[in-house]
Formats: sequence, structure tokens, C-alpha cells
Amino acid sequence: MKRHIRSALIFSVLLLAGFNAVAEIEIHQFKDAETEARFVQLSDELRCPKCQNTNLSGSDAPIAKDLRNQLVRLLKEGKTDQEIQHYMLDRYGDFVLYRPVVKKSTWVLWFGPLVLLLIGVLIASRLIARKAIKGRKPETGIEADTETDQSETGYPSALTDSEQQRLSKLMQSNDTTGKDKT
Amino acid sequence: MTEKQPKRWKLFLPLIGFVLVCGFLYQGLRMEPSKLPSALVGKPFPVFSLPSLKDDTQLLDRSAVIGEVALVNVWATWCPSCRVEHRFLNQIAEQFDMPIYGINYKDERAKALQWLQKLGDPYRVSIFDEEGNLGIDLGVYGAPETYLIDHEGMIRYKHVGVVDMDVWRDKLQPIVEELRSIAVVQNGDGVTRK
Repeated sequence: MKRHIRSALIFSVLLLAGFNAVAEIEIHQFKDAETEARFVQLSDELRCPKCQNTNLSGSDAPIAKDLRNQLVRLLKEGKTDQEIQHYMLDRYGDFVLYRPVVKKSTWVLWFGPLVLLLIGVLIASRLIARKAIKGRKPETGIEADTETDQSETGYPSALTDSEQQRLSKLMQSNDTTGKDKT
Repeated sequence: MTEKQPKRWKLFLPLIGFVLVCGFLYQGLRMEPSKLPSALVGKPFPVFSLPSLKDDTQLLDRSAVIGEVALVNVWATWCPSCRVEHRFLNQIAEQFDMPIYGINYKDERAKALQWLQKLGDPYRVSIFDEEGNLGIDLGVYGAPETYLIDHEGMIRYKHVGVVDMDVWRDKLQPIVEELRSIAVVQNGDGVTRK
């Protein structure tokens, strides 16, 4: 019985804590669900100018609250998303947009990663191609038995031509000693 | 092995890359990301219609701050740095005969009036922006912020944070002098056009 009372107490305390949190949430009224969805998206994509890395929806800063109110006002006035973004850009600059506008000074941001990826692919493909050529080389200039060896393993050789020749000589002498014994 | 020798410089590529990244990061240490470049520089001072701080029946508009090269200072009594800044503004207004207009930003009128009475009033006029709407049109994101406008009401410079004598001497004063000389050429007298 005591346990029940205790858990009921804890439950009611938690409930009260919940009410406290409710009191801090702003309530905005929108004419339809679509406008509300636009509000949510815009306040997610716009950065609070006072904060270094928080969007408008996630910030408690007074300026973020003011800008959320502006957002509601602009949406009620029937402004398009683009007009609203321009409104913010005109006042707070590129910083407010988490998705920056594509222009000369943001080309590095937009296309930099792609360029780096292309460079990486280029380097990797050249390295792979070179290795493949090296692997094929010994097949042409070397004796018949090493050739069969290679096709058996299927691996490209990591050895240079001269090393390959030395290796095949060693292998041959080994073969002959083996034959002597039998 | 000798055939690989000419390509030896390639071994240094990772080191070169590392040094470059270090350079960028080192530069980053001195940056102040909290100071945003203003989107308003080069644009006209926004249109507004707001009451005067000292007389709530008097409506002020853009023409109240335009006509001379001037500073427009955004301040509030809830802003501790503004208190630090205030004596410098008094000094600049007095010593250099600099017109300074105040925007009392999201503040209470009684507190603001008391502040000016106690600490002195460097402002020609104080605009009472209770809702912070002019602040938003100016791109204000905190106080204090100070805008430098030319005689035609174009915003020429923005300083975020406290204006002290160093900021005045090194950043604001040179621009003020340059703008004043331009104004003189254009108007003949350069100071009063109102």
C-alpha cells in the first residue's frame, strides 16, 4: 500500500513538472496544416543570428523568438518561402540560411566536396590502373613455367621485372634439385 | 628501384596537405564567428515610424536621423555592455562633435529615461523601439550595435559590441572623416541640410 502511495506521489510530481514545461511553449495559430508545415520547415532551416549553430525553432534567444513571430506574420501575409528567405537575407545576411544560396562565394561550399570526390576517384583509378598494368607485365617477357604459375594464382605480381626473373631462376634451380632427388 | 626516383616529391604531398590544413585552422583561431558581417552595409537606413523615448506623443521617422554623417547606437538598460559603452559615447559626442542617435531596443521607457538621467545623454534623439521591429529591419541581433550612416542616410559601417575609444579611433573616425569630406564636396557645407 505504501508503495502505491509513493508511486502516486512521484507520478503527480512528474505531472506538475510536465505542466511547467507546457507553460514555456509558444503557441502559433495557422489557417491550415500546410502553412504550419511551412512554418516548421522555415524555422528549421533558418539560423538564429545570435546563436552560432542553432536554428530558429531550437533557440531560446529573444531574437529567435522575435524572428519566429516575424515568420508567423509573414506567413499570415501570404508571403512565399522565397520572399521570407529574402526578408531574412536582407537583414541578417547569408548566415541565417542553413542552406546557402548558390552564388560565386558559395560555390566552394556547394561544389567543393564533389570536386574533392572527383579528384579522389581520379587518383584511385590511376593507382588501380597502374597496378593492373604492372601485374600483367611479367606475363609477356618470362618463361613458360612462371606464366602458368601466375595464371594459377591470378594475383598481379608486386615484383619488378628483374626480381621476377631472379625469382623464376631460383624456382627453376629448386625444380631441378627436386628432380635430382627423385 | 631507380625508375621510381623522379616521383619522390609525391611522398611529400600528405605533409603539404597537413601544413595547409594547419594554416587554415591557425587562422581560424583569430576569427570571431559571433561577429556577423552586416547585410545592411551599403543599403539605405530602413524606413520606420516610432515614438521618441522622451516624448511618446512625438512620432519619429527616417528623416529624424538623416542629414549628417552620424552614428546610430542600439542600446538597452538590460544590456550590461551598453553601460560600459555609455561613457565612451558621451565622450565621442562631446569631444568630436559627433551626432549620435539612439535606438532604445526592447526596453522599458521608465528605466531607459532613468538611465539617461543618471549616466548622461549622448543622443540627439532616442527612438523607442519597444517591439524591436526597427531592430529586425536593421539586422540587430544583440546590443550594443552601432551603425555609421552617411549624410544621405546610407549605412556605411556596422560595429557589433562595445564602441570604446580604440574602436572609435581605429575604425569609426577614419570612415567618419572620409564621409564628411565627401558630404562637403556634394553639399558645399556638408553638415546641415535639414
